[in-house]
Amino acid sequence: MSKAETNSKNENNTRRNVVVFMCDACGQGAAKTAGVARMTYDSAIRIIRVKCSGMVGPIQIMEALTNGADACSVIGCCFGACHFRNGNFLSMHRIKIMKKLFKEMGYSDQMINHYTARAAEGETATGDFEDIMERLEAAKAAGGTFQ
Amino acid sequence: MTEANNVKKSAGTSSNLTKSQKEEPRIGVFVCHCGHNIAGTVDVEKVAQEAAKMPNVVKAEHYMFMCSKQGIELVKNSIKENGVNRTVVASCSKTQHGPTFAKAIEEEGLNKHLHFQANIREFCSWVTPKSKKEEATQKAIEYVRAAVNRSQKLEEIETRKLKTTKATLVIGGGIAGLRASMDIANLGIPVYLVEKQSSIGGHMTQLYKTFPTNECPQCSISPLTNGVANHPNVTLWTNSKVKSVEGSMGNFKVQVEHKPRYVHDNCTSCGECAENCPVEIPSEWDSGMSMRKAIYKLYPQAIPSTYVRDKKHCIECKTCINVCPVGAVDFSMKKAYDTIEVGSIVVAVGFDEYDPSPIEPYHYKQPGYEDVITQLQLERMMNPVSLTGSMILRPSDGKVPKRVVMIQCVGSRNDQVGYEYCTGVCCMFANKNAQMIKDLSPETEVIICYIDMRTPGLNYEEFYKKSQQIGVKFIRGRPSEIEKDPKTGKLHVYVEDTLSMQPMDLETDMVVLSAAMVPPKGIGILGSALHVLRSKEGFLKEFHIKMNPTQSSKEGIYLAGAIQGPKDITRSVAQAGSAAALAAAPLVRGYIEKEMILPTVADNCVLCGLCVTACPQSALKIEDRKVAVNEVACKACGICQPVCPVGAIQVINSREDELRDEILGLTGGSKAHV
Repeated sequence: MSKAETNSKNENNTRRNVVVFMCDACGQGAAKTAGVARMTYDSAIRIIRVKCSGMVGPIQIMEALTNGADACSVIGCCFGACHFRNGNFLSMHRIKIMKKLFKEMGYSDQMINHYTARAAEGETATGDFEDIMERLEAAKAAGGTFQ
Repeated sequence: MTEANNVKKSAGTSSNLTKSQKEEPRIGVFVCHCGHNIAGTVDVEKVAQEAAKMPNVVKAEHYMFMCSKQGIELVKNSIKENGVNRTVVASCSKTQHGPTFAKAIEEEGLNKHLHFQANIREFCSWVTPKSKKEEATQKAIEYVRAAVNRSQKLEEIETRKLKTTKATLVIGGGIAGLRASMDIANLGIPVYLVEKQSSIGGHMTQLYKTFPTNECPQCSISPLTNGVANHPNVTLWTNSKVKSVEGSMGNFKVQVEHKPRYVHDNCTSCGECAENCPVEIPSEWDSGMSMRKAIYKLYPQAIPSTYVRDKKHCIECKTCINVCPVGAVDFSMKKAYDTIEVGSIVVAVGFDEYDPSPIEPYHYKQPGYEDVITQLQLERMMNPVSLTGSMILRPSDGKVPKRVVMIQCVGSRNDQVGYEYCTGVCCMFANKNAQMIKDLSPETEVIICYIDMRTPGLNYEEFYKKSQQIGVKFIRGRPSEIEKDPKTGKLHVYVEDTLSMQPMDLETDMVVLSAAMVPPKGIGILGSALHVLRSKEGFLKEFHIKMNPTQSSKEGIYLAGAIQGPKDITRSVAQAGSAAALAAAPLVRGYIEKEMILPTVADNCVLCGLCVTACPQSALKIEDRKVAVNEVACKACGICQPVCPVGAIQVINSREDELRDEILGLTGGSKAHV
């Protein structure tokens, strides 16, 4: 995280904005656990609470990216642990397809990611956030982002 | 005051308002300091000032502790005095104090779904370093803006009382399942008890004695087995299994498969058929310690006492049909299915004993190592109805062993083979069986090789002391290998006594492995039929390890006994009682409350059926050229929403345009309020 942070400061000193959809069960749980444990992560992360990660469609992701977000991610429960059976799988496949599409259109596919988190382990959430920021910086460096 | 009355009135009558709420949103924003938890990192005053500028915000305040009585009063007063009809509290998470404020606005006549929680503590102030106050403040403002945007279109949601089906399904007829069935049936609720075996009783009836009182388990369980079998509220289905489960808490639809017994219920269990049956095979019930016929009863006291035919081993000589005095044997019986409706489910399918054959150095089940047996086999050997007639005899040559070595932690507390957890009861049953061996053949020497002797609880440590007193020997160390001396035919157990730091070679006649308790076979199929989660070991996962160890991951399905994790009888029975109370509660009450957060289907629906296939709860159906929503089954997960190609199906209060408003609030997009 610190690396990504310093990078963003050194390069152009612009504030990043990352929208993360987190499911009501494990995603929110992990983010809350991270908060309770006072784990710090990049302040660019903005969390939206959704009932299930399968609820987030391409429309929501594109709306975030076209309206000022630098990156967008979806975080659900671990595979096999979705509280509604298969929402996390749907979401993962959706992001895979979107990544392909982004690549074909000449954009970086590192802007959109799917992760899983565990409610009892805050570091799963912060780890995901770090990865998001690293990938975003890579995408920025390669010049494949929208802004 | 007049305004307040208006608000109350409109809230009371607006349940039939459509999406375009007739009244203009008047939003109150309340920013919490949470002591220094938020105010230490976020400039709350600035957040409140910014919030006041947001669209439709009529009141923006900040206060030290919003969840305190004064803070809640602040929220309530804004509804009374400023005519606020939607509240946004920027404080902790929705699960922590969301319900507090929802209840507060409900007391003022607003629907609780008109409250929206902006989490600026766990998601903002706690995760941003105190040095970055400016960034944190900006982030908090964005969270508040997103919440304000989202709350613009929030709708009232009705909480409906749903009728529950007054019946319970109990899966598994072991001690936990029986206890739960009995407790539920005594409350006057019909119980369906489904048992896979041909008789109820489970593992407890296989035991010779129970610790710590060395009581006969058959004597303790038979009142319960008899009571359940004869209870007017209990429908007992043996030789059956659960095929599929649909629905949700309060209303489950369960399909049960009955395997044919080939013997009708008019069987008098006279035993003529088994006496004349020419086929004889080792009994699985007695772990191979006795023989049974192809038409048999699990054990003499089995309930129901109807005989059962083993089709796999039967040679179809039809002797049993001819000798049966009541003509109960019928080879033409077929599989049957029953579909039942129940309100709650108790899962008590218990455990299996770990099969130690993967631990190669112990040579379990290998030729020449017949004298290496498990504790359950020893229990059956000691049983009065076994082949040995309750004598401790070596399986290989039938001689009384001079020395028996017990090995603890076989398959448990092992990173390489088996499982990592401690079964927790092996120490106790090894102690008990050691005492029993000493009781049945006092000249036999018993040695227990253990890692740690774990005997927690009342009377348990005393039980261990008792074994020491009657001369059971204890060696601290996990044996590395069991080897057979081909000359003498004796077994050698190699173990390092870690207390005296000495390698030892124990020459013995018999070895008993204290195998772990593991999830039963077929639990994966049952788990997926029930749609419940399992732990990484394979047991069914409880809802919360401390606060709710009896509920499964799904509402309405409760766990009892060893299916939730290894347990002794005492704890299984205790958990079964808890499961019974939880399973009976919604049925005794007669209803459950459900918040009607449901998807709505617009007229532009093209009936492609994508949402129907995507729905994980199977709550959607196409009926009369329309998508119909099963209001009971729907869990409002919203998975149907993005799959719709025309955006016709939208979940109330999480519609795509509402999510868009929230996204725009967070990203600071141009059209913040649409």
